[in-house]
Amino acid sequence: MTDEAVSNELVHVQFADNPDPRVPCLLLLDTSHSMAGEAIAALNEGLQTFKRDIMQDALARRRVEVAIISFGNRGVNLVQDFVTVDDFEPPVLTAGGSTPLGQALEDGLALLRTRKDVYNQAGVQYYRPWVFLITDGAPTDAWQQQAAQIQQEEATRGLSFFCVGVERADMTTLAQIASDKRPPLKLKGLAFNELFLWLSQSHQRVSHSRIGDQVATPAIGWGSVDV
Amino acid sequence: MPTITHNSSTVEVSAGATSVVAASVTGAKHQRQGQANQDACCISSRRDGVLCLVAADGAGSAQCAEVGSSLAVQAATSFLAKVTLPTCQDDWQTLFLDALEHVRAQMETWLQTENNHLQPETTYTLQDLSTTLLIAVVTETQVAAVQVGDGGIVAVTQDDEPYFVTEPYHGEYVGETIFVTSPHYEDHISITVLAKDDVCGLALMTDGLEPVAIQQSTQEHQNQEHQNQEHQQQEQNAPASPFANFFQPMFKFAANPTQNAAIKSQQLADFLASDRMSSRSDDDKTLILASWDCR
Repeated sequence: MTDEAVSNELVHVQFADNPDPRVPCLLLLDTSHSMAGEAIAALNEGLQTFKRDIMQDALARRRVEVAIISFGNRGVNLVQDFVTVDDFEPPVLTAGGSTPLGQALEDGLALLRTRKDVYNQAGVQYYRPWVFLITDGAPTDAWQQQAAQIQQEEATRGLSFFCVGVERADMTTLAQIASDKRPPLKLKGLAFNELFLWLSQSHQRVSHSRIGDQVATPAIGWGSVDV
Repeated sequence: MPTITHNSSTVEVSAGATSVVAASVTGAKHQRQGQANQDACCISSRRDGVLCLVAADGAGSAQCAEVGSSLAVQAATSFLAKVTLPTCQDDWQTLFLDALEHVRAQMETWLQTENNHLQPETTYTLQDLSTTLLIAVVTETQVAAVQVGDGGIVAVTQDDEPYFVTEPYHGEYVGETIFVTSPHYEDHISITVLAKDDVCGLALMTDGLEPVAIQQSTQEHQNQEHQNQEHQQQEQNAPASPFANFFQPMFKFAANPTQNAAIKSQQLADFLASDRMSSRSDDDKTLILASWDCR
C-alpha cells in the first residue's frame, strides 16, 4: 500500500503565480544650473551605479521600482515613471535653470498616490515607499505647504522621506522640509557613487524582508547629519 | 486528547466521518537562523464529537513569537474543550470573543510568572507574544470560524470551489497585519457560521502559504477594471481568493480514506518542507485540512 496514490495527489497541487511585491523608490533630483559640470556628471554616474548594483540581486531587480522627477532644467519633469530596475534605463540628466523644489515635492506626492492606486487595483502588494530628495541649493518656489504634506505622510507611515544636501545646499531650509525623525544628510564632496550604492543595498535588504522584519540599513559612509 | 504540534511534527485525528490531517514546518529562513517554528497548531476532538481546529502564527517582529503562538493555540483549545456550544449565530460571536479574551488572559498569566524573574527593564509585554489566531469548530450541523490577522480559513463547496470563510486582515504594506495581542483587535476580527452540509471541507493556513495558495488578483479582474473606470474608486483593492488548483488536490488528498493517517501527515509535512515549496516561500508554514462527505 502505499503512499504512491497520495504522493500523486500532492504532485497535482499547483502554485498560484502572483506578481512580486514592489519596493517603490522615488528620486527627486535637482538639475538646476548650479549642478552643472562635475556634480551632474557624478549624479548621472550614481544612477548607473544604482542600476548596476541592484541588477546583481535577482530578487531586488524584479521588486524595486524606481521613478525620477527632476527639478531645474526646463522646470519640473517626470523623467522616469515607476519601472522595475530590470526595465530601468538610467537617464542622462542635464543642468540649468532655477530650483522649483516645492513643485517637485507636490508632483512626487501625486505620483506616489497614483502608483499606490495602481498596486491596489492590480492586487500587487507593496512596501513603504522611499522618497529620496537630492539638492545642492535652496528652493526658488513656495515649499512650506508641500513640506508639511511630506511630514504628514511620514508621520502616518505613508512614506519614508530622505533628504540629501550637496555642497552649498541650504541645510537650514532642508531641515525644515525633512521630518525631525530623519534630518537631512550632507553629502561628502560628490560621493554620489557611494550614496547610490547605499541606496541600492538598502533596497535589496528591504526587498528580501517580510512580516514585521526590522530592516537595518547599511551604515552611511557617504554623508553626515549636518544641521 | 488534544495534540499540539510544533517543529515539523504532524498529527491526524478521525472524528466521526471527518478526516483531518495537519502539519506545521519551520521555514527555510528560520532554519538558516537557527530559530524555532513560530507557527503552532492543534486539532482536537471533543467527547461530543465536535472537532476544534486551531492555528497561530507568531509575529516575526515579536521577541517571544513561538511562545505567543503556542500559548494562543493551547488556551483556545482548552477553552473550546469544555464550553457549551451555541446553536445560533449571535451566540457564536460571544463565544469566540470570550475565547480570545481567555487567550489574552492566559498570556497575561504567563507574563506575570515570567516577569517575576526578570529585571524591570527587561520584562516582557503582551506585544512580545504577538500572534495571529485562526479557529474553526466543526459540529454535527455547523461550521463556525474566527480569524484574527492574516493567513486564511478556506472552505470547499460541493462543486469543488474553494472560498474564504472569514476575511484575512492585511495592512497597507507587505506582511502587516493585526494580532490577538493588538489593542482594539476585536474591531478587525472576522467571524462566520455556516451550515455544515453546505461545504465538504475546511482548511486553515498560516501566511507562509499565502504566496502559493492565494491568488492575489486575477487578470480578468484587472481587465474589468480598466474597462470600467468609474468602479475604480469603489474597487480599490482587488480581492484575493484561494487558488483552486492548490486546494482541490489538497482536499482530495485529505479525503483519501485508503491511506494510513500517520503516513499522510508525514507526506503533508514533507510537501510543506519541500524545495519546490521553499523556493516560493521561506516562512514557517502550517496547514490543517478537514474533509467530510457532503450531502
